[in-house]
Amino acid sequence: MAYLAGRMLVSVEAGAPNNGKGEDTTARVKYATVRGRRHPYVSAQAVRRWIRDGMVERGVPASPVTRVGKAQNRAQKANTGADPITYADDDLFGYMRAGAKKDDAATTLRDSPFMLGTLMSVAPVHPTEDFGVMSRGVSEPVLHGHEFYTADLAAPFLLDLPRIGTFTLPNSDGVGRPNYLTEEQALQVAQAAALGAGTEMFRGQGAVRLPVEERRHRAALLLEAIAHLSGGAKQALHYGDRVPSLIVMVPFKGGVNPLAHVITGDEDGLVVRGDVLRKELAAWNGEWVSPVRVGWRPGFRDDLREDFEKVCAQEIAEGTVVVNHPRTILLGLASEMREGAWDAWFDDAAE
Amino acid sequence: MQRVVQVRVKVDVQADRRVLAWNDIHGPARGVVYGLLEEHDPALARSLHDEGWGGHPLKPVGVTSPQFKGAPRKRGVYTTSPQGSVWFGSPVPEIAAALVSALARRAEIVWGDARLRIQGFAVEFGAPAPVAGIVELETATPVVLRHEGRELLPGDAHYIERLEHNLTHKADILGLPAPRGLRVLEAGPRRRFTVRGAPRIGAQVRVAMEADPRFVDAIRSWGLGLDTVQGFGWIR
Repeated sequence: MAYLAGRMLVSVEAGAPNNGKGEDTTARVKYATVRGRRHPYVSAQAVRRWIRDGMVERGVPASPVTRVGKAQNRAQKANTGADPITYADDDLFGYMRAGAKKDDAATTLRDSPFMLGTLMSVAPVHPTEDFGVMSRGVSEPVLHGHEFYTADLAAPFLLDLPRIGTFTLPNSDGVGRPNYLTEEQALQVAQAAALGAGTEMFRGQGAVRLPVEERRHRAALLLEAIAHLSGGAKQALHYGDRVPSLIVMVPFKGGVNPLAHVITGDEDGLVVRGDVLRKELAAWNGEWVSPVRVGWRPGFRDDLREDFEKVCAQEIAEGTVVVNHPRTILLGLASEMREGAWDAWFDDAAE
Repeated sequence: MQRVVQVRVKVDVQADRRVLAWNDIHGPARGVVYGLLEEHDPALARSLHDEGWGGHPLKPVGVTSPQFKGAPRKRGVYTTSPQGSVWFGSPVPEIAAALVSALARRAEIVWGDARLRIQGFAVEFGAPAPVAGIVELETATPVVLRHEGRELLPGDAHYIERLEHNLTHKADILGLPAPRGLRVLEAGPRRRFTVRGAPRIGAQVRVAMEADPRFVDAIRSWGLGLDTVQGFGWIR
């Protein structure tokens, strides 16, 4: 099936998990203006960081990051090890390591197999400005301020499963000068081979591919990290759980995400559309694999859940739609992947 | 089960001479392979040399003699051209990784009396996607087989039997099902090379067999017949 398409919703209660540039002594939350109204958001980069950190907490070694440029009085850069064979995070999240032009250093690049949208408030919200005073032990109090908000933030995501653990290399039959491997690329091939990677054609390009056991392990790591999502700014003052309150996932043939309008919002806030899900599934019949996995935290908008389950009653009864706790859904899928139940998803669907 | 990979590396080289001595075509291959392995992993090189792999004396490594594209044809002489290549491969991850690592750091290969300057190397991806069923394979270098101490050529009695035996043995080492229904479709002329003072006689062949796709992948990085580490039986 190749892709795992999804949409997740993180419910923020009096929080400021991702902030923009401060003004004077006031920290501002990030927001986008849509039709003249403010929609707070958490950037995809921030959530990807939370997921990465979650993987590290779960014992997965992270690719080392080095900051270069400032000391050399050159453009500043922060690079990871750019070693997707050793490091699951480099594999899942991609990287770019731009070489300096004057050094003739090569740029290495990996597109992220895990794609995530901006976690944007489903409804307009006006952040509260909190006025603070630090007066403890000082004669002249220091004034400061920050913004926070309560909102339901939703984002689409897409996991390109066949690309996990698959590393494309230059074709040897290119026009003109043959595209020989650099020493670094060659050593990566060697390293991949030692892990049992073979060479094959992938989407029209030569690639080395880690064994499926390692590839499914990496996909599972990502799902497990989302199941334990935590992090973000202002935790001391605005602690909040970041495990998705609602997540919908469906294995899909192409890179389409049919769930965009399933979790959405209006003036009154969050809207979850079972009818939209049913119509999308019917329209994309043959392009997805049952079941659609819905993770819904108990107690989160029980009114909407009741409506959703009523509209999708037939699908739920048939098992086409499965509703459970997000953690159960995510860990369940991760464990099925690890057991090899979904190995077919790790190759492109045959036409 | 032994993990099996397909790693075929093409090293483009330029020789420092116009002609290779006959003894220098297949003769140095084995030394070059062990030299490379030793550079990266001396213990692996030693155990492969002394004991073979997985409790069997066979060495799951393939290599070719240097192949020169557009080399001028001259009777009785092995001429070179600026477009030379040597192929290396192994279906065993550890061996393949050691070969590729060592090659990545090399600027030249000493091949007998000749020096082959490395112009670059590339991993091959052109292999057709393996499918279950009958597969045809053609070798780029002669296939060596022996029966009761005598070297065999296609058409000889026991040729199919020995080749089948060799393939079954290789499948055993890799823990894969043995191929069936082996047939020789075409055979090239008899070739004779000297390797460490002893003659090796064989011919290039095109064969068909019914094989597990994983075995086809593996054998493409290893070769057909005996003495694959000496540059024989490499599949095109």
